[in-house]
Amino acid sequence: MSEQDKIETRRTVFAPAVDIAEKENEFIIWADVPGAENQGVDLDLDGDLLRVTVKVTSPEVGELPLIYREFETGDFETSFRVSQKVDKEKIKAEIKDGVLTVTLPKAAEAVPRKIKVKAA
Amino acid sequence: MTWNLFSELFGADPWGEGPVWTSPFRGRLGERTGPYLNIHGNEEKLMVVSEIAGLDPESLEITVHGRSLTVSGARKLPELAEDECRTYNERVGGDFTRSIVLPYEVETDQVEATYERGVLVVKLPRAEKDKPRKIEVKAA
Repeated sequence: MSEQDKIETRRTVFAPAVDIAEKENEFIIWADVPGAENQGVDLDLDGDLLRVTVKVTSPEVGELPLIYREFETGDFETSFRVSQKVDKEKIKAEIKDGVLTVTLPKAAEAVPRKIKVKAA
Repeated sequence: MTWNLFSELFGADPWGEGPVWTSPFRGRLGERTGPYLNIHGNEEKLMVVSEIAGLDPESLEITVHGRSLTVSGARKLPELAEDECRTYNERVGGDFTRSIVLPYEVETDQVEATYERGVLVVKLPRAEKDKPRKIEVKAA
């Protein structure tokens, strides 16, 4: 088989449904990634690009044939451009029940502060 | 004759609704959105798999009655304070109910359901009394 005959196969990959919110001190990203393996979540910050890769395992069905299908299973991938306001060192992520929550705290300068006015 | 579980589930209405969907999540265009389900099975047991990220486990109710399976529950999105908002929103939250007609009766007290990592799996073994039996022909 020549090099051209080799076909690389990859699992189906989906972009997860995502919500983004801005709070006073942080941004939050929620992503629906059902079936995510516990150790299968990878967050990779490259400059200002946050790449999220999630590996998914399907439930054990063994030999049981699939007789009705509404959804396909696959890994998840998506990426976000992280704003300058974010303190990149402090980005945290956790996953629970198939929901990935990424917390991006704002850098101190970006947090709105009240400035006291001294009366002369 | 091979047994076609697909036609058992939908009878003579292959373009119909399939497993009934009531109180659905609705997407922005009013289209039905999740939770979706896949059904695996053979003549002895069924396995219903559904992806429901962030399900509230206390809200989950699974009922089996005759040949009908009903799954209902709720998925709440995190609440935000008054001055906070979602700047980008693709996920849908709310109550859902789905009912499906199974191709055979199941052993109700042997139905098992697990919810792990956002995936709900319901295992339903066929009821003993509903299993096909060979009938011996006695020679006269």
